[in-house]
Order: sequence, then C-alpha cells, then structure tokens
Amino acid sequence: MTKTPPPAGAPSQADGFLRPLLVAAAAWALPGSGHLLLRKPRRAAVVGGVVLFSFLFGCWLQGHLYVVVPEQPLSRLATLSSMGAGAPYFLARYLVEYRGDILSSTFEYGKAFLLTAGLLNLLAVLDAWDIANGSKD
Amino acid sequence: MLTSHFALMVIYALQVSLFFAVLWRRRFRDRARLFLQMMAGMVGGGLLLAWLMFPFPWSPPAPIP
Repeated sequence: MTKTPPPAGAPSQADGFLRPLLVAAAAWALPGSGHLLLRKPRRAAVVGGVVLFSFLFGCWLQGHLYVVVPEQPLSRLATLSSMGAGAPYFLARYLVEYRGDILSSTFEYGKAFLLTAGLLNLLAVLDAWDIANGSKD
Repeated sequence: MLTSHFALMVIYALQVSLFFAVLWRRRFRDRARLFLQMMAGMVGGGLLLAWLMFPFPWSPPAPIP
C-alpha cells in the first residue's frame, strides 16, 4: 500500500511544532509580541501594556528584583517567575543594574508587581502557544 | 512615591482584572462582566479581610525600639 503525499502548501509536522515554539519564544522575550505575530493586536496591546506597566511600576516602587541566592531555595522559583517578564527583566538586571531599595516603604509592594509581571507574561506565553497550536481562537 | 495601601491594591486589581478579562473572554460583554467580577472580588475581598482583622492583635501593639 502506498502512502499519498501531503497536498502542496499543507503545514508539515515540523512546521506544526516550530510555529508555536517561535511564537511562544517571541511572546516570552517581548511581552505582547506573540499575540502580535498571531495578528491579535488588541490582545497584544493589553498583554504587553499590562506586563510592562506592572514591571515598570514595580521598579518605580523600588521593589525587589529576584536573583538566585544559593542559601534560599525558594529564591530560584521567584527568580524564574521574575524572568517570565522576558527582556524587561534582563534589561533591568544587567543593563541598568537595578536592585531595588530595601529601605523603601514600598519595597514589598514593588516586589509583588515585579513578580506579577513575570507570571502574567508566562500565562500570555501559554495563551499564545495555544492559539498558534490551533487549540484556541 | 505612592504609599497608600488601598491605592496600590486597586491598581493591582485593575491590571490583573484587565489582563484576565482580555485573555479568558472573547466578547466585549463577557470581558466587562469578568473584569467587574474580578475587581469586586479582589477589592471587596481585601476590604472584608481588613475589616475582619481589625480587632487584631488583642494586646496593645509592641513599642517601637
């Protein structure tokens, strides 16, 4: 029995996996860009706007931007959550060398906003993955 | 610097409600409804918790060293 070749222009299995992967990577690296690639500009604007606002607001409040502290195992989880914000996290950490100010009265509030920015963006990545996969509209 | 606990809570609730309303619902009416439900849940829940915790601690607060 011979197998019929797929019709011309049909996405191959590799494309079916590669596209969601690229969209998810873009969505993580630059908040909102994943939905923009999927031609959902309104959702992209809200996702990008909320994540960037939360991150910048957290920095303005002098919140703590997590880094891994070997003696504190939970700091690994918190750092991963913060890294979920993508480029803003790495720009703040390595380019601006932002650390936060523990003496600031809003230090803990700022930390909550910074963590939230990362976690919300990770949810947006999953959403973009699902849309690119075809399992969600 | 914004130091009002209530204002910070409302800003936080606003951004999270907006995010989930847009991500989880498709029609405007459904988004608006979820947004208002989440806002009411977070702000109202926060105020309710604050009210419930108002009598605590029973003893007078410890002196500031």
